[in-house]
Amino acid sequence: MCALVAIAAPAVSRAQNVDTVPRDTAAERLGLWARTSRSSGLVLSSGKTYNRVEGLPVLLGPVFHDSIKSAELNLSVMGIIRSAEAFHWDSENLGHRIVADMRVGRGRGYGLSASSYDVVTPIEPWQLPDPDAGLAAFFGHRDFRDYFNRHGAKATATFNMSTRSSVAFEWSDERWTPVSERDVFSVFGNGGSWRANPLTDAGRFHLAVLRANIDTRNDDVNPATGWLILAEYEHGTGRYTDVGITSPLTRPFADPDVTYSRGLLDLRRYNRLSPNTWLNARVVLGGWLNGDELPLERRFSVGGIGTVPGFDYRRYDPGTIDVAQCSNGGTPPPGNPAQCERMTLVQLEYRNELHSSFFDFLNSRPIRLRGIGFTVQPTVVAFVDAGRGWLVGPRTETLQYPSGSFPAFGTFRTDVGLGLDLGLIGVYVAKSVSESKPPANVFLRVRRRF
Amino acid sequence: MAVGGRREAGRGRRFSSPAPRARALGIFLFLAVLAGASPLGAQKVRIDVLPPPENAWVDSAPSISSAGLLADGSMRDLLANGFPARLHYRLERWASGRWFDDLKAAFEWDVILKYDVLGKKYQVVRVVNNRAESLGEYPTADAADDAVEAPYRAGISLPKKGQRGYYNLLLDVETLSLSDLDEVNRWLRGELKPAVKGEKNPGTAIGRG
Repeated sequence: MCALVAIAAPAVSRAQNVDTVPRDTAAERLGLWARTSRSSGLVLSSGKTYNRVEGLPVLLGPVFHDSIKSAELNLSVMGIIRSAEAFHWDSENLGHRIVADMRVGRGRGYGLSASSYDVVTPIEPWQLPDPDAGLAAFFGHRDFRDYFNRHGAKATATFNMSTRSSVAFEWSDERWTPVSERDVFSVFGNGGSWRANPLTDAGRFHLAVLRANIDTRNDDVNPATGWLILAEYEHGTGRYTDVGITSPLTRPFADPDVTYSRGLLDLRRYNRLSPNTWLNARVVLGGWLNGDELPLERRFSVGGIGTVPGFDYRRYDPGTIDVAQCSNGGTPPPGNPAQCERMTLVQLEYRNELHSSFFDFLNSRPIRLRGIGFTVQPTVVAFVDAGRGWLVGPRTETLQYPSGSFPAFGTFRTDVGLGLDLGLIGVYVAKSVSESKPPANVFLRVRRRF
Repeated sequence: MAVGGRREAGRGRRFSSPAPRARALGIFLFLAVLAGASPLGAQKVRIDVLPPPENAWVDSAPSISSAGLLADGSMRDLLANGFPARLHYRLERWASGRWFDDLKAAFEWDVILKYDVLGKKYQVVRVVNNRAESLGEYPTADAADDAVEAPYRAGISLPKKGQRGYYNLLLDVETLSLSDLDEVNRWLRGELKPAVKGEKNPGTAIGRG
């Protein structure tokens, strides 16, 4: 059975990604079907992520692939050990993911999947793709996500309209537990303290999720035209065993029994203006729809390099109502968690590709990563972002709004910026516009911003 | 899984077909994203979208030719050790709009180059619309390169008379891993039944899983 040992196979790297929110990159959305190798055998893989809770998750286990007529069958049984605390063998460092799925039809068709998992999951994966988050943590000692643990089982039925568009229904029974930051290595700043991982709610939840993923882009890596629409409706019921710490107003009273509905819409449009210029837009709407208040794991925030990069991630200004994380200006809970019940983000970018001969000197020896060479594709990017979050309830200053109303645009956090996207990596500078005080931020992104 | 590398490049030509004076208006070059095992600067890579004869934009599709794609030393080494190379082409036809340009048509094909170590010959296959067509067997890498890079007239739909626009070509060059070899060998042995039946696209299967 142990016929093959493959390092870092993309499919099993999803083992850490059982969040109900679709992932940002196309490869992550493809799931087990995206395996470029169809071989069965024993697989050793990284989790393709790195964070202050786990360090590097390492997955090991057998995978099996087969096909019967037009049906493809996949089974993987992966154990997870995490590198935090120098791979110390304890319950926090161990997990698993077992997936059995079947897909009928290569383009249009359907799929059925069942999985069992014990994984660490980011709270808001829609903000920043895995590579950006992992590299920032590994090299810069900066973790731009918060995490919690999900332990349970899930069944999924998917109708595939094409290879890149689908509608899926998921039902899961999960136990959520908070996790804390641990001793995790970073290249720079190693040994320093990490930002606290927020204390989230604990309890058992049943989740029903309806998700649509419509992708009409001409290219999923470098799209020049088309739509990418990710829409998700989640209905959750459960019972808290412990509730996390929140700011006043955020959750005045937490009933142990909770029932909620939540929606998320990520809408992206890519437009070509000329052979080498593009105008792209992204709108993200997310929030509470009905029922009880959202658990902390299902709340929202904006700010930081994935959303409004002119503002520091999880920045706290004492005495100021925080429309990014939805605290009332008092000292926020440790880690300054996402507490908003609703959120809106708008991003607009203009891209102008430069003649690459300007950078040919960089292409004389391509950068090599895992055997793949990368060259420079220089594109100037000008962008503007605006976003904020808010609570739902009786109007309270600029923090809380009734369910049927929308905050004035003047209350949004906005920024403008400029960058040079070299294809593999982009260097950007962003300056806040809605507030003059924060200095400009310089940051790196892997591939495109969206 | 690609192990050797991947190169993506594109080049397009504009057409303007209120015909009689249809001609190429410009050329833009993308030297893009993931480049292959080869340093592009070491060997001049050329990809040409050859326009149809004068006044024939609405009657004839452009041809694609290239040079130097497989000339890199490490790429040659991989080929000589039995790792196939796959070139995936995507030719797009765009119409210039008032505000935004519109993708009107796209045509994709693959060219696969493999060295038969026992037979000491290079085999070249083109896969278009799930159909594999042998381009021949060659004793040397240079001869096989010539076959791979020879002009090929793409089967893309043509612009309407009076329509303004341009062509854009995207090219991925990658060498394939050991796990893909079985599938390539099956094609080369003529086991193309799944592809012919339309159940599987061999061109995309090896590269994309």
